[in-house]
Amino acid sequence: MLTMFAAGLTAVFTIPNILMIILGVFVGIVFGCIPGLTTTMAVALCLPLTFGMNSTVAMSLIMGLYIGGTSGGLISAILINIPGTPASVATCFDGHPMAKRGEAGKALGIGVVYSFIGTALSIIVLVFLAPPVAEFALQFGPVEYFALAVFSLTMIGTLAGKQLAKGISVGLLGMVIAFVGIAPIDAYSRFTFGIADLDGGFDILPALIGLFAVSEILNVAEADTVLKKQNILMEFKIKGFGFSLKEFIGQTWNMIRSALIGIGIGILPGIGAGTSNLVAYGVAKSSSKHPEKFGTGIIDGIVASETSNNATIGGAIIPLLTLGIPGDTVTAIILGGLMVHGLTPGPLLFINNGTVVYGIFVSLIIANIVMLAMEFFGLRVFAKLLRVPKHILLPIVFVLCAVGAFGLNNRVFDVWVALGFGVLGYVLTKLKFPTSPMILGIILGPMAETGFRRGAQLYSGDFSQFLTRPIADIFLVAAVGMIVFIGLGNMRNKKKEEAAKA
Amino acid sequence: MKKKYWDLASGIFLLVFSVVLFIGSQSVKTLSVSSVGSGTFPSFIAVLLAIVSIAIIVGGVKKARGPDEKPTKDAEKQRLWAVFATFAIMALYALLMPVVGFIITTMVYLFLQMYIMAAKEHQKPILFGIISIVTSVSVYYMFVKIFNLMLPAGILG
Repeated sequence: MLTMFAAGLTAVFTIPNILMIILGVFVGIVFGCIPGLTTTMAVALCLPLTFGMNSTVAMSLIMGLYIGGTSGGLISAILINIPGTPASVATCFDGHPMAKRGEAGKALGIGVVYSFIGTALSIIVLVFLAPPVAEFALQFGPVEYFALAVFSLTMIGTLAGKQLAKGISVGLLGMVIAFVGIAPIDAYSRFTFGIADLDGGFDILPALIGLFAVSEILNVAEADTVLKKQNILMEFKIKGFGFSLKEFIGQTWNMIRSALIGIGIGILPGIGAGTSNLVAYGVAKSSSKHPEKFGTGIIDGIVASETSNNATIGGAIIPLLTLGIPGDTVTAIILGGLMVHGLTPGPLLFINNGTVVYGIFVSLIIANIVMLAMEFFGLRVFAKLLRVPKHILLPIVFVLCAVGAFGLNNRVFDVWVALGFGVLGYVLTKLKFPTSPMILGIILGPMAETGFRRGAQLYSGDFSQFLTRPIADIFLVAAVGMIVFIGLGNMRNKKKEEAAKA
Repeated sequence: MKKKYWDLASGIFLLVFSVVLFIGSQSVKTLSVSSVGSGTFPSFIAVLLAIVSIAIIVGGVKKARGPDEKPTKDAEKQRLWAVFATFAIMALYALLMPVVGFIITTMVYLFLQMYIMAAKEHQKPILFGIISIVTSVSVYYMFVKIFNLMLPAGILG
C-alpha cells in the first residue's frame, strides 16, 4: 500500500494538479455557499472541463469540488440561515442563532475546523478500508452483484421518507429509463422507438444534469426569490479559530460519533450528506445532557452537523471505487465522469489503475488542507458572493449545463435529454415526489439485471444458485431486513400521525 | 385541477404507464438461450410499478376526499408563465444552437432568461446585456481553446 501511496503522491504532486485542486475547492465553495447551487451541480458542470485532461488531473479537480462544495454550505447556513446545500441544513439550527448573538466568527470558525476534521477522519477510513473491500469484492460473481444491487435498491426506502410509495415508484421509473437502449447479454435494442440516438440508452450525465440542475432553474424561475441585502450578516470577527482548547476537548466524543455516522451513511448507497447532517444532529441532541439548549446556538449542534456532512465524503467514495456503486448523488456523477475517462470503478480499478485510485486519495488530502485555508482566509469574499442575484447566476448555470451535455458526445441530442430530465424533475418536485431515488434506479437497475441474467446463464436457469451462495445471501438477507425495518418504521409513523389527529 | 387530486392523478398515470410498459416488454424478443430474456426484467418492473401505483391511488383517494390544501400565494400562480417561458427559450436554445452557433444563441438566451427570472425592479437591460456578451464569449473561448471541447461555431465559424 505504501508504494502505491507514493505512486499516487508523485502523480498528484505536480503544479497543474495542485492548481486544479485549488480551482476545484474554490468553485466548490462558491457552489456550496450560494443557496440553490449544490455540490452535485458543481461536479456535473465542471466535468466537461476534464474531458480533455488525463484522468489524474480530472480527479484532482473533482475531489476539490466535492470537498469545497460539501463544506461551503456552512457559510450561508450561519450568515443568512439558509443552507447553501442540503448538507448544511442542521448547521442553521445552532449556527445562525449563534451568529445573531454576535458570534458569527466563532460559529464559522467551528464549522470550518470541524469540516476539516470530518473530512480528514473519513479519508483515513477510506484509505484503510477501500483496498481490503476491493480485494474482497474480487470474489464477487454475477449473483453477488445482483444481490448487492438489490440490497442497494432498498435504500430507496430510506431516501423516500414518509412518501414511501412515491419514492419507490420514482426508483422504478429510474430503472425503466435505464432499460432504454441495448439490453445486456443479447444486445437487443429495447424501447428506443426507432430513435437511433437512443440505441446507447440515456447517458447518466445529461440525465443527472437535467434532474439536479435544470429542474432547479425551472423551480427558481417560478419562485422569483431575491435575497435582501440586510439579511446577510457581514459584521464578524475571528480570533484564531474562534474557540478554546477546552471547548475542543469537550466535543471529542460528539466529533467522533458524528464522523462515524457520516462515514456510515456515506458508505450506504445513494444516501449522502443531506441525510447524515440531520441524523448526526438528532443523535447529538438526544444523547446530550442538555438537549434543551440545542437550537439556541451551542457549539455541539454545529460540530455534529459539519463533522458528519464532510465525513460522508470519504464514506461515499468507498463503494464507488470498490464496487461501482455511488454512495451519494455526487459520487453518482463522479461515476459517470470516471466512465468518460475510460475507467470502470470496481475491484479491478485497484489492480489496473492503482495510480488513479491512490491519486484520488492524495487529492482528497490536499484538497482538505486547501479547503481549510481557503475558507479561513477567504470567508469575506465568499460572504460577498451571497449577494450575486440568482437571476444572473442561474441562466449562466444553464449555459454550462448545455455545454456539459453537448460536450459529452458532441451532439445536441444530449442537451435535449438534459432538458427533458429537467422538466421531469420539475414535475416530480411539483407533485411532491422525491427525485433522488431515480439515480439509484438508473444506476442499480442495469447492475441488477446484468447480474441476474449472467447468473441465470452461468447456472443455466438453476435459480437455487441465487440463494446458496453465502456472500449473496448476506446481501439478500440484509435487503429483506431493510424492507422490514422500513415497513415497521412506516407503520409506526402512521400510528403516531393517527394518534396525533385523534 | 385542485391540488388534492394530484396524488390520485399521478397514481392513475403511473398505473397506465405500467400497463403500457408491460405490453411493450412482451414484444421484446429473447435472443439468448436462456429462460431469462431482455423482456423479463421490464415485465417484472412493470408489475412492481403497477402495485406501487395502486398504493399511490389508494392514498390519493383518501386525500381527495379530504379538504383541499391551503391555496398557494398569488405570487406563485403569477409566475407559472415564467416556467413555461423559461422552458420555451431553453428549447429554442437547443434547437438553434447547431444552426446559428454557440456564441450568438447563448448571448440571446442569457439576456432573455435574466429578464424572465428577474423581478420588475431588478430588470437592468444594460447590465444584463454586458453579462450576456462577456459570458457567452468567454465560455466559448475557455472551452474551445483551453479545454479542447467542440462547440457549434455556426454562422460565425
